[in-house]
Amino acid sequence: MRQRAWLRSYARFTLALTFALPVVFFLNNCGGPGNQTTRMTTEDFQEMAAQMSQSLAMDDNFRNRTAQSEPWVISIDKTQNLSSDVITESERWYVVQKIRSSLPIRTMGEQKNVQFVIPAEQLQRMRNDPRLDVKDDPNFQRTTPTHQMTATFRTVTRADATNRTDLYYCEFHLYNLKTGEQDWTDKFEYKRAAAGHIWD
Amino acid sequence: MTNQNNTLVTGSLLLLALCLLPACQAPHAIDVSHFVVAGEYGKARMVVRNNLEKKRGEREFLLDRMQLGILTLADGYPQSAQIVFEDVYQLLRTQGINADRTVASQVFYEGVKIWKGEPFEQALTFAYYSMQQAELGQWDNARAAASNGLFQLRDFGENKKGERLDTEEIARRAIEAERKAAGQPTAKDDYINTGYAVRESNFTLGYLLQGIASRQLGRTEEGNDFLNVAAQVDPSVRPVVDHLKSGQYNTVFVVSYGLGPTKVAYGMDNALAKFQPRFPSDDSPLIGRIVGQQRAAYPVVCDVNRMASDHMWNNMEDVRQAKSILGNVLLGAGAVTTGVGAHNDNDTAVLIGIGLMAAGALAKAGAHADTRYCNVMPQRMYVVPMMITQPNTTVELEVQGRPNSRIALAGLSPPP
Repeated sequence: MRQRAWLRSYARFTLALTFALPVVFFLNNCGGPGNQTTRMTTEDFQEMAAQMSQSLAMDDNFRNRTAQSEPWVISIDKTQNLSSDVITESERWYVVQKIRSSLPIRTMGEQKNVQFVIPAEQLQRMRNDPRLDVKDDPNFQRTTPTHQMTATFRTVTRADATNRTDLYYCEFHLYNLKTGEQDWTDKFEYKRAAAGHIWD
Repeated sequence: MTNQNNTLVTGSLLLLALCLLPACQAPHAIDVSHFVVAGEYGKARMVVRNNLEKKRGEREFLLDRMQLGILTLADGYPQSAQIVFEDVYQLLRTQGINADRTVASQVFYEGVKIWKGEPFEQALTFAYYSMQQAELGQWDNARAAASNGLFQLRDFGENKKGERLDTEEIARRAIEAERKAAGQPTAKDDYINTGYAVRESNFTLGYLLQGIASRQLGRTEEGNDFLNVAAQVDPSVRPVVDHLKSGQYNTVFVVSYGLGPTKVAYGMDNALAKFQPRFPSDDSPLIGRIVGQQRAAYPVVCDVNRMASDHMWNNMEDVRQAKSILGNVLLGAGAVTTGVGAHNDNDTAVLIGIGLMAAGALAKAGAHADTRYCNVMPQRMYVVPMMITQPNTTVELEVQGRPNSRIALAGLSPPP
């Protein structure tokens, strides 16, 4: 009889579970999407900007300069996206702005007499984008560029039905506008992988 | 590069679709197809915009934005569509967001899932994003967006008659596979997850858009490769491909026609869903001409009816039919066993019966098919490259055999 009572209790528990489980499943499924994308993130852009500015600071052309050197004004006015991911105009210029505002570059301005400029309309576009935190530089002075910097984003994508890996490259080139020569180039890469059906 | 200044124009010929609107429209959060049919894209997008679902976890979140993006583009405001498409793109590029909830998606009403649409809807949305970027002159992003619509597909193959498997047949095979696995299928032997071959996309429009965008970027060889793939996938688009490869164009019209298929529930417990044409498919070309010049015929490059009816472009919604059938069987068996067990004081039978009822109830809960879909997709699309050399040029477009589909685009000028 005791065993029967236990079984009845167990049966009631099972029945209750029948109705409780859907609630549990429902609550588990209320969350938003997880981090299962190979898209570049703001942190990626920030990291890339930091690496790039460090690389620039280490280059001989820059290392040997002093505060008394002839001023360099580097215009960053051309970015191209040849990756397999959509990178909006704002996002592209956000990278450039991050580079401009990074500590090594700002230090370069003071110690190496190098100034980075970007087109005014791009700066305005970033200011208008609520997702980007772009502040004005009170020390900014617009002058005629002596150098041009370009940035090109590329990817190597590997994808099957359930996985995707994107290897991103961002190539920077610095050209001397007087001589037309390339003064510096470097590329930065990082990999992002995601699992799960592309369409699911 | 004369092509550097090319423009891309999207347009719609929706004049004939009204009489074909279904009498029994599937339940839908926002249905603006009547505005779309009347060509009143402004009204349609305002209705959608004013009713936008704000919770990301809701199925309508992406559905609404897909519709808003497409309608805003059709209304001639690519810049305004930017922020909408960015949101949509972000979600579509998030993969496997339903992967961890496979069990839940089969057991409960699908409204709790985050909805990304059918694969064909996703591919078309990437194509629309590509067009939107192209209209803004962002050819690099147009190329990237188009490439994302060329994802690999699941192909369950054909039956013994050489016909493509339809959704019911796949569901039956899934049930058979489960039965063979003694009712305890694992992820490894689940037919739905393993019974297919992976295929490269056959999305002709996507290849064409990527080819056009690549050529615009000066990547002619790459662009031609994509165009060649388009012609391999669908040989009927060869004339368009040859035209594009020749570079003799400075404007590309992407023309949509008709309303895409509607999604309806049918079968026991309305457990199955299928797409049903609202506008019939045919291979009638688009006749286009610059006034004063010769007419040319342009083939259909995308038939949404055909995509929607091919299992490769569908989610495996019909797994719910299998669950519905299993649910009915188990509920019946469970009720009988419990009755017998209680009558005979057989505790083991009572437990088994209740267990079966629990499993049956869970399966039954997922029986009704979810028929929400993006209801502003066109039935078909054409890609029309043209060389506009004079200001105030008029272009006439008409689907062959449908004189009331004719539109004239006046005041066109060469791209700057």
